Amino acid sequence: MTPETAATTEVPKLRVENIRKTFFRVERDRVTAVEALGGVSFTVRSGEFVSVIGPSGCGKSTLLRIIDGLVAADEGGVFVDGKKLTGPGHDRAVVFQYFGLYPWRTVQKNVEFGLELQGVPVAERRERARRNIALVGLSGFENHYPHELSGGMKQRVGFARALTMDPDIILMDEPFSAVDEQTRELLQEQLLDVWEKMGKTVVFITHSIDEAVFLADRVIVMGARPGRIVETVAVDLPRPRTSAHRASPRLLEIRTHAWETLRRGIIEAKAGLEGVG
Amino acid sequence: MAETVHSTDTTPDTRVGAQLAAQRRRRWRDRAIGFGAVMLLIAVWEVAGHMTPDIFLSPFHRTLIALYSLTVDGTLIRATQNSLIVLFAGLAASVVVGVVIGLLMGRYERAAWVLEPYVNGLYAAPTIAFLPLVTLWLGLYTAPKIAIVVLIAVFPILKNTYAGVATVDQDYLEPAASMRASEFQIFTKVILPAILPFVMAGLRLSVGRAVVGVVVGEFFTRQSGLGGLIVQYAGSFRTAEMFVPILVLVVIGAVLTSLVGYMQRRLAPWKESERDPGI
Repeated sequence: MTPETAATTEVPKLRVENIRKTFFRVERDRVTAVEALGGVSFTVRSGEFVSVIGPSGCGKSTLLRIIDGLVAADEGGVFVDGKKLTGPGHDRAVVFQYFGLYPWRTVQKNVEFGLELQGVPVAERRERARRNIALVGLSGFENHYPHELSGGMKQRVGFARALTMDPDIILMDEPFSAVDEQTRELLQEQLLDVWEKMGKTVVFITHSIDEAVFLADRVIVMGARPGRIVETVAVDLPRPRTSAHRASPRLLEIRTHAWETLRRGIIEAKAGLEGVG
Repeated sequence: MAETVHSTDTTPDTRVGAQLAAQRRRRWRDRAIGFGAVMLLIAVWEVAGHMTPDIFLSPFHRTLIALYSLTVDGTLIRATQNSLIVLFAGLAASVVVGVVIGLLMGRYERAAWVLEPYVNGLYAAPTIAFLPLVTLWLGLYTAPKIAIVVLIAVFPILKNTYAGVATVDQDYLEPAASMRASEFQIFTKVILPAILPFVMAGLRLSVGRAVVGVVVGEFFTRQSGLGGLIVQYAGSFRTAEMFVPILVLVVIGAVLTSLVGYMQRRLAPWKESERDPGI
């Protein structure tokens, strides 16, 4: 994959450069190597919304964890504002697929958690958390526990927690895959609404093409074995987007193109696998 | 849990009310059966006591009379106090030792390698075998008794804590790591709260074992407390009196166990709801 033409003079908010990662699985005396990521490079502009789609096993979740610093890459680097990263940092926050909430903490305390770890004074973190709980539409639920909330509400808490850290980049790992279809569409629209207001840079991992296209400025399509970028699809739909855009001919056109790209990646991976086997 | 919530806002109040009432009736019926079983035992005890020589079994009502007179003259109160001091000190020490060792073993593989042989060895060994050694080292008064309680009661807490730490979900650790929690913060703000239900479950099992430890200690070091009373009355064939400290021990064990169970539910309400749909 050729790196994108760096014609623009501005330093990209996020630059991922030639990331490679191989996992080893040891079973008794047999070691199998699985190349999860085989050299992935892309950049994201400040304030841009980028979706990453790919078949399962293409390493997209690993990629997200490498960007966050939870997993170390074997090769390559992640740069924020041109500076190479060495681990997790307050400039990035993750919204996890499994919500990542602590059941012993109330909504308020969950949202405050990141600030609490940083030692932000109680009054300030309470205020900041409350603001973001309101932003995701959960005012009145501050003192509820996660087990009292629906899946969609839990993920809004996860999102509020990420916002409360006030990061430059929000990394979202299939955040809406555990909620039902109707809730998912509402959450997508709410996410866009908040994103328009806050101007954060978003990297959004998903396995849903519709979701990827509806949300993003660009869709990075990945293929598996090894995980790599097949193509980057620009989504030139106007903003702000509303549910009305879901049925627009242009979106369907882009969706079809993305789907064919994804298919090509899957077929290539299969062919490659059969070649090896 | 979720099912119940749904039905509350979709079905008429009357049907919900009927369901709740039925559930309450079932609970009372279960309690009545349990109470009846105890009454039956007491009745059998009373009758059998009349048919056998007093040395072997005296009727229940004489134990009740003994309970009254031993309470009035202060013997029972003093003995219970002594036993409770040993019991609570031993349980407290068991929680501290069990949680600390369990945490270390669960979090650090090397600590587990070092400590596992000792833990498994002591757990498998008959604890009473250590009693002469404990007496030799710690004497005859309160300290060896507490040590015996710890030796017997620490393991459920330790093992549960260990298992709890090992099963602390990646789902809890990953967000903390992403938000740059320090190792100390991970311990205090993630692992400790996450394992609290496990510790409480261990403590619930430990209570019964600790009561055994108290009695063993009171039998075989300097006789004291409720265990001491049992030995004393048994030695002088005062069977009716002998049952008084035994009954008190049973009540202490049962009350403490259900108290810990209650705390368990209060401290980790989310566990309840996680368990609910499965059953």
